[in-house]
Amino acid sequence: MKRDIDKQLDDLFKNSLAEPQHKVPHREEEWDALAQRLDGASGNKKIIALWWPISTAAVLLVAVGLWVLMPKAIKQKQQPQTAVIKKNLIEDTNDQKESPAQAALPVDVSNSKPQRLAANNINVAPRTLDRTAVNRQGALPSQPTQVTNLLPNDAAATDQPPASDNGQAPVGTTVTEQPVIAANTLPANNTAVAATTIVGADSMNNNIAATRDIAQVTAEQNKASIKTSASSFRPQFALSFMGAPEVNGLGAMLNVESGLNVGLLFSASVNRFKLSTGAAYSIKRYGSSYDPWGYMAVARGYSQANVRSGIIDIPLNLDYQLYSHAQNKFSVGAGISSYIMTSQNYQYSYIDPDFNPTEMSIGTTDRYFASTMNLQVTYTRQLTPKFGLSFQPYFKLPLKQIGDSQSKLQTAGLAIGVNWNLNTLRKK
Amino acid sequence: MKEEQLRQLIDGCIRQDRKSQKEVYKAFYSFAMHICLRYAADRDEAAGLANEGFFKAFTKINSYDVARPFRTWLGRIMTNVAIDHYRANLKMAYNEDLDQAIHLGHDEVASARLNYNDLLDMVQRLPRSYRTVFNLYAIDGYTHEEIGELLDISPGTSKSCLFKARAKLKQWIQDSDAPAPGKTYGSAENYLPIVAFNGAMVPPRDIMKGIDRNETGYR
Repeated sequence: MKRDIDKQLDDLFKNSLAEPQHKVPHREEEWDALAQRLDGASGNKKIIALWWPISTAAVLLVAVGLWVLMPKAIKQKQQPQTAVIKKNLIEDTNDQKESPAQAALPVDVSNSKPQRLAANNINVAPRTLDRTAVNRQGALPSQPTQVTNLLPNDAAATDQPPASDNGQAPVGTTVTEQPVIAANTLPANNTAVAATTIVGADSMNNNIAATRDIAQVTAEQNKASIKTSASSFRPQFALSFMGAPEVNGLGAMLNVESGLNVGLLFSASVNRFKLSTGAAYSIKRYGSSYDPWGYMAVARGYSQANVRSGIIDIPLNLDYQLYSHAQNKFSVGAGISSYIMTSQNYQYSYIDPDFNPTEMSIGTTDRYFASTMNLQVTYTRQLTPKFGLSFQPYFKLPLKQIGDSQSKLQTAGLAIGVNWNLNTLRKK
Repeated sequence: MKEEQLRQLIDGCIRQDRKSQKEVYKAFYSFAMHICLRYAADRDEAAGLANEGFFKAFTKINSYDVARPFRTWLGRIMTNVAIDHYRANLKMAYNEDLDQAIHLGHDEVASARLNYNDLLDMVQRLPRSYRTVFNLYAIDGYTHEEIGELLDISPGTSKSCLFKARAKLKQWIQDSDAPAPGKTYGSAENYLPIVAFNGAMVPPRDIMKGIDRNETGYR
């Protein structure tokens, strides 16, 4: 009997309310409000489309700016080693006399020193060459001549035959056969590089024979001939614990609120690049004009919502090291973050204090994949081989709308972190 | 609206054509509002829900399967928006203790004199949680298990809410059948709406001072 009564009651309401016959006319102001929201939604997409090139240009600008403004001495130190290779074509003694010994010195003198060559593991092969090196006075060199030949074939090294090809020394010169140090490691077809180096024994005393042609071999070519230490390709793994005060806001960041971000990151560095990921929990506060009640809120004198969101930030960043000297390192980076929004709380204020509700809480978890783009500059100070401190100003730009309020949340902050290297890269 | 015409308008909505969106909005506004009115406490709140529902429909129009009726798809969106709204307002939910609810007799509840507005007013006067459960179960046909999943409550809580909602409604229907001085339900000719603003009951005379019944439309 009771069930019948309940069903009768349900049917009464269902028949009357489910499919009512009369129409509810729409209100133009409600459509206007909806159209405005739709315009805003499509406008945001245009803004997002512009963010990518703007952000990319900003990162490139910062990177180039830092590079240009960096002290020259530091740049030279960071520049790859350049081997200056000279080909001594002794044709007449007049040229020799006009060629000051200092001008014949390599720019990077260290590359001409046998000690450095040996240190760079250049393959050294004893060789007898019928080329000569003479001192400026035409006298016999007091020390053996060292020849570094980076070409596999002597004939390819020059378009002019060496003065000693016929086995005879030029007039006025003293010919000597000396042991040479040769490095025959470049590809045979690399004839563009004039790679015969004949550095007289006097070069050690800044008395080098006359030189006509100077060619440069780039670092890559030089490195190709050098057996590089395998340890430079080993990745450096590290853990970082970071905390950051930050500010959050929408739009032009005019109405920002402070927040907090703490997280644990794992990174792997190879050469100048560092890839990092992890998780950070942040409490983000920001002002929003979110209107969950639509037209009704306007009627209630709704003004502003203060939003407090709990967000798990999962970043994936790539950093490039611009500068490294002693324990100091500077790098710039970019990446994307995925947000997991664990909580949302909206505090509403009304012109009329008697209006309710004043608070709305959403406990559901929402996920936003690749919702934010990260830009950061990092300064790292290595305290010990294991531990270091890092200071990282960062900026997070929205790629998606997040939260129940569909907010385009921007964040700027300064992360301070402690780094712990999981492995060391000491040469064994 | 003819099927072909609706198809063209939906194509326009997919292109984010504002005119097409407005035509769809106008065509389905009444349908959407009838759903939202059942879940909301008053017309303004219902309008807000409908606004949110249309916004989601227009921004997610690409997920609409054209092989299925648009009306059904839109109705589901409106119901989901109402459920989201309920979940977002859990802290504000007015969980009136109805343990002391009057135990009604087993009289018949149907009353020929109750019209749409009367019944809608009764539903809207229910506490939010009771109203949502009653709508989902009695009108939209969800089971208690489904309601539990939708509202993050147990099926037992859903049954409890339904029981208390029915008890309230029965009481109000009985009251309307035997109108006492000051009661307006059931008197179709002298009907004055009772509108709840933030849970505070505003006397009908005050309301009617500034509102023309024809302008408000839905009543």
